[in-house]
Amino acid sequence: MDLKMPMTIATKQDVLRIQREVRDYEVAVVQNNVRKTTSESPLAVSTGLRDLVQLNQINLNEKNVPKKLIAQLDEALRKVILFHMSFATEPTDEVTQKLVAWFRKEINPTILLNIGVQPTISVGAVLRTQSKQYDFSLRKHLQNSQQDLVKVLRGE
Amino acid sequence: MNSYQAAFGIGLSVAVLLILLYSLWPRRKKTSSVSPITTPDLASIAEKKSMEVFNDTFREELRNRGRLHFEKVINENALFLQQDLRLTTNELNTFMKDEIQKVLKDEFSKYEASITSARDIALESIKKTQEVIDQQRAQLEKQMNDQAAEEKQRLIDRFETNMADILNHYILDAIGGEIDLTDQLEYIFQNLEENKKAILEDVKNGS
Repeated sequence: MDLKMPMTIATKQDVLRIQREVRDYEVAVVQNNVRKTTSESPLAVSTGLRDLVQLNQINLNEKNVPKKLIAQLDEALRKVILFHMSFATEPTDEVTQKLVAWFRKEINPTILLNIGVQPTISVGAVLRTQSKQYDFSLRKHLQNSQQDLVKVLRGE
Repeated sequence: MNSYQAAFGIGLSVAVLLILLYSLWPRRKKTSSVSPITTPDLASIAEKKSMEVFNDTFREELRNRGRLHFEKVINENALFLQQDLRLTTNELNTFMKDEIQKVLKDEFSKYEASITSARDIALESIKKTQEVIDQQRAQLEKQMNDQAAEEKQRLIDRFETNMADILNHYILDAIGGEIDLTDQLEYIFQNLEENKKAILEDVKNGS
């Protein structure tokens, strides 16, 4: 069964971070078992991992579940569609999640974003898919509107 | 009386005076080769008588008279000569004055003609120079206008060519860092919606 990616896991870096976190979590569980220490409170996890386990109804405390989750995440990384989006500045998580939500709803549920920063964009964004590039920057918009701008300037 | 008449008068007076002096001048007795025995000594008698008439006193008187007459003649002729000389001088002055006036008039006429000619040439030259300057000014003005128009058109073309970048630059300067990505989301989503079909096609072809 394919993993369902929560909106909080929006980028490839998020997936890789979740993988590291799952490994750390697994190590922590093993350590706890070795030390025979039982803790009432669960180990602290990130929002992404928490949303992921909740969305997919996974219990990380079960044996071999973390390993299985890591494998599933590897599989997901091989299957996901990776789009690259560049902005003038680093987007906030909220912005990233909104964009990922739109892509997963309108294009493909497995889409992950790779966020880049390109100051020359200034306003807007540039989307690079598997074989195309879409320039949504203001510069491109103005270039496309150049004839209209010339007409306005000439009073036509 | 002109100068020739004065000279003639002086010459005539001198001739009369010389003849008179010659006749009155005492001469030596000629030694006759003729024998005094054969002819009566009439000549000696005449000479003797003439010597009696023309004695020293009479001769002195004649000399004085001749001298006085000569002086009178000389003075008169000198007066005539002076008058004539004065008249000649006046005439000469008048003549010189007229000649000088004529020459000066001619020279002034030539000078005036020359000045007029030079002035005409200078005016012509100035006129031509002015025409050349006007032509060059008009040409320069046209050239500058053409260049200005060309430069203006070049700037407009350049502005229109790079309008997107220029506007982008000015918009960025205007908004600076105030615009947030959250505010751009609507614009980005609008573009995504417009290109949704192409993106779907791309994903479909890619997968």
